[in-house]
Amino acid sequence: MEVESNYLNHEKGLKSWLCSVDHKRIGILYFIAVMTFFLVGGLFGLLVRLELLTPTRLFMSSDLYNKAMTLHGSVMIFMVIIPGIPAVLGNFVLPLMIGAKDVAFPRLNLLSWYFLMFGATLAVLAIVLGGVDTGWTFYTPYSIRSMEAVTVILFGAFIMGFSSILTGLNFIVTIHQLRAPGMTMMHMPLFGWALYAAAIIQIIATPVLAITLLLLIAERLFGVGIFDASIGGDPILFQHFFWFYSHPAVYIMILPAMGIISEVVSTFSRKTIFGYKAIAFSSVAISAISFFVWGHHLFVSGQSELAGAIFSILTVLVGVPTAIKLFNWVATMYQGSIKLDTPMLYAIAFIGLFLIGGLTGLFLASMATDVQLHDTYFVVAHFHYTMVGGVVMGMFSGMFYWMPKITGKMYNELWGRVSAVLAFLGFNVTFIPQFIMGSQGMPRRYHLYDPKFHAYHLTSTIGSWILGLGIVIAMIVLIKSFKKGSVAPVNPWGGTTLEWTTPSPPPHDNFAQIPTVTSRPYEYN
Amino acid sequence: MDILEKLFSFMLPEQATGTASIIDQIFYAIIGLSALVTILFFLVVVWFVIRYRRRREGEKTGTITESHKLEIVWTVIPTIVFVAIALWGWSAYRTLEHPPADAYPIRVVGKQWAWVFSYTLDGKEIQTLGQLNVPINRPIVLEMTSLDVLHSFSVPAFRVKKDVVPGLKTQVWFTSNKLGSFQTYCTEFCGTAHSKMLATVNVMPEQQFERWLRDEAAASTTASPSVLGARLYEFKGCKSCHTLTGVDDVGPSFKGLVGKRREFEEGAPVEAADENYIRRSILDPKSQIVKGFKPKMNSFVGQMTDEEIHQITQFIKSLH
Ligand code: HEC
Ligand SMILES: [Cu+2]
Ligand SMILES: [Cu+2]
Repeated sequence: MEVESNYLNHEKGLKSWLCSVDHKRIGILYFIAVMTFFLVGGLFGLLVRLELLTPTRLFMSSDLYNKAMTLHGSVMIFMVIIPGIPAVLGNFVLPLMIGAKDVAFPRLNLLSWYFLMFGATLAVLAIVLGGVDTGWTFYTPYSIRSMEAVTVILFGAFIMGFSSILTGLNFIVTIHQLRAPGMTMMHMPLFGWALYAAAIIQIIATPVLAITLLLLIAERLFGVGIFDASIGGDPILFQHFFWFYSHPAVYIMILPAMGIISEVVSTFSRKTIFGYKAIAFSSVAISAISFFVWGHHLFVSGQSELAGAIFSILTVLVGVPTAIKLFNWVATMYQGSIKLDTPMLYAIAFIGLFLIGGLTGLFLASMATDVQLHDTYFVVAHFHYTMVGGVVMGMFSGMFYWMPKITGKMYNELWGRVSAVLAFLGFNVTFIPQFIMGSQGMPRRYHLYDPKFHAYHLTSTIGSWILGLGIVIAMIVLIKSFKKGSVAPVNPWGGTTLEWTTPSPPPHDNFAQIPTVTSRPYEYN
Repeated sequence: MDILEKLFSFMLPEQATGTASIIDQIFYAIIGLSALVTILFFLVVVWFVIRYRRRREGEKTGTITESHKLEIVWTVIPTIVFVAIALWGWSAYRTLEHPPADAYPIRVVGKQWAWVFSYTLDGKEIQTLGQLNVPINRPIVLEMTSLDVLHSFSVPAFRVKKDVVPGLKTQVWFTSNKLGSFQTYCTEFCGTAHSKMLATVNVMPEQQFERWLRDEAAASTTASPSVLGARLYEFKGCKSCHTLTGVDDVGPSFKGLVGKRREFEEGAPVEAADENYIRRSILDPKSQIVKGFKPKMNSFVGQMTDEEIHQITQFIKSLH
C-alpha cells in the first residue's frame, strides 16, 4: 500500500526539520524541546522534594538546594509552561482549526523557536558556570549581589521573552487574517479564543519583563542604582515591575489550557459547548483584568494599605470569569454522551484541581489571611494547583486529544488512562499536605525545616514520586505513538472542528481545499 | 463558624495574640465556602459522568446551548461573595496594621542570617541576638530594617508577617496574651542560610521583662573590650561564616589568626597577621582574598564603629 504524502514524510533529513517553516513541523520541534525541558525541570523538582524528605540535610548543601529550587522554577516557568501549550499545540492546531494553510508569518514562527533554543542554551550555560540561587523571581537586591551566572540566566530569560512575543504576535495576526471563509470570530473554536486572549498578554506584558531584566542586568554590571537601596535605588520597585509581567503571565499559561478544556469537554460529551459566548468573552475579560492585580504579591512588602485594598478587590474579580468557565464546562456535560478517554480524564482532573487552585486563591487575595499565608507552602501549593493541576493537566489533555492527528496513530488508551489517574492522585498527595503545613507557617524555599512539619513533607515527597511516575508514563505513551499504534482515522473522537476534517497526519499544506464554514463549531445532533 | 473552627483548626497554629482570631475567622469562612463548593462540584461531575456515560455510539444528546439566566446567576453570585471576602479581609487588615499609640517600640535589624533586636533603657542600647523578649499583654511595635538583602519577619502564632527591606523602615505590632516561646521565621528568600535565619519570641511577665532589661543594661557597661567583641562576633553575623574552632567554614576560622602568615589569591603575602590586617579585612575584604576562599564577605564600612572594630579585634586576638 502506498503511503500518502503528509507533513511528516513530505521532506526528509534533519535540515528539512530545522529549517522548516511548516507550522506543524515547528510544533513538533517545540514538542521535543518543551518535553526535554519538562524532564529537566521535573528532575530538579523531584530532587528538591527528595532533599526535603528529612528535616535536616540529606544529600544537598543549602547552596545546592537553593540552586535546584531556582532551576526547577525557572525552567518550568520560562521554558515549559509559558511556551508549552501555545507553542506546541497552538502552533500545530490553530491553523488547522481555523482552516488556514499556515500561520501568518511562518518564518517568524521558526525564528521564535530559535529564540527559545538560544535562551535555553544560555540557561544551560548559567548552570555550567555554577548555577543560580535567586529563586525564579530574581528579587533585588539579592539578585544583584548573587553569583555571576545570574546575569547569564537573566539574559536567557530576556531572549526567551522574544520567542513568546513573536508567537503571540503571529497568532493574533493569524486569527484576524487567515480564518476560513465563513468563519466569523463567533464561529471560531474556543481554543482559538483562548490563544488569542493569551497572545494579547504575551505582546503587552512580556516587553515589560524584558525591560525589567535588562535594568537588572545593568544594575549588576554598572551599578546604576535603580533597585539597590545602598546606592539610592528601590528594591520594591523591582517587585512591581516583575509582577506587572508575571501575574498576567500566569494567564498566558492558563488561558490556552482552558481553551483545550473547552474543546475536550465538548467533544467527549458529544455536546455543543454550553455558553460559547460566555466562555469566549471570559477569556478576554481574564486577560484584561489580569493586568491590574499584580499588587496582590506585595501585601506584606510595605505597599500602602489603600493600594493593597484596590489590588485585593481587583484580584477577586479575576476569579469571576474563571468561575464562569468552570460552571459552563460542567453544564456542557449535562445530558451529554460522556466517554472517559484519556483526554477527558485529564480534562476532568483539570476541572477539579483548577477549582481548588482558584478557591485557595481567595485566601491569598484577602489581605488579612494573606498576612498569615504569604511566602509559605500554602502559596507553593496554590500555585502548583493552578500551574500543574491547571496548565500541565490541560497540556496533557490536549496532547492526548490531538496526538492521533499529529502522528496519524492511536496512542495506547489503557496506559494513557493509567497516567492520568496516577498523575491526579500523586498530585493531590504531593500538594494537599503543603496547604496544611503552609497554613501552620512553614515558609517556602527552606532547605532545613522544623521537625514538626516532617509528616507533611514526607507525604509530599512520596506523592511527588507517584506524580512523577504518572507523567513519565504519559510521556512514554505519547512518544511511543509516533512509532507504534493502530492507524488513526481522520476523526477518532467525533470532533466537530476543522482539524478533524483533514487526514491524520495532515498533508503538507493542511487542506486539499480550503473549507468553507457555514455553521458554529460544536454542532452534534 | 464554631463547626468550621472544629473541623479546620488543625490547619492553623496556636493563637498567641488577641488579633489572631480576626484572621482565623476569615480563614474558616473561606475554607468552609471552598469545601462546600468543591464537594458540590465533585458530586455534580461524578453524577454527570455516571448518569450521562456513553451507552452506545451515536446516541442523541441534549440540545441546550446556553441560558442567560444561569450565566447571570453564576456571574453575580460569585462577584458578590468574592468582593465581600476582599472587603472583609481589608477591614481586618486595617485593624492589624495600625499599632496603638502606646505600643512599646523594639528595633529589629535583619541581616544575612540573623535577627538583632535592640531595646533602649535610660538612653542606653541593649541588644539581643535571635531572642526577642517581650512582656505579656502589652502592645509591642517592631520597627524593622535590613542591612543587606530582603528578609521577612514572621511569627505564625501571632499571625504577623512583614518584609524587612534595606533602605526602608517597616513595622509590625502585636499584643501577645500567652506566656512562652514562639518560633519566628525569615520568610523572604535571602541566600544560603535563609532556612536557618530563625529567632524566638519569649513572652514573659511584665516584672521579669523589666528585671531582665535592667540586668542587661548593667552588664554592658562593665565588660571588657574582648568580651564585648565576643558579642559582636555573634551580633554582626561573623559567626555565620567564621568559626572559633580552627575548622574553616565559608571563611577561615578565627582561631590563632593573629601572628599567622597569610597568602592570597592575588598579591604579596602578609608575613604575620596583625591588628591592621584584621581591620583591613573587615573594612575592605575584597582587596585581599585569602587563598582557597571565595570573595563572599561584604565590607562592614558604615556598619561598625571604630570602637566596635577595636573590640572585635581584641576578641580575635584572644583566640589562640
Ligand atoms: C558572608 C560570610 C562572611 C561574613 C558574614 C564575614 N566574613 Fe570575614 N571572611 C569571609 C571570607 C569568605 C573570607 C576569606 C576571603 C577574603 O579574604 O575575603 C573572610 C576573611 C576574613 C578575615 C581574614 C581572615 C584570614 O584568615 O586572613 C577576617 C579578619 C574577617 N573575615 C573578619 C570578619 C569579621 C570581623 C566579620 C564580622 C564583623 C566577618 N568577617 C564576617 C566571609 C565572611
Ligand atoms: Cu499574581
Ligand atoms: Cu531569609
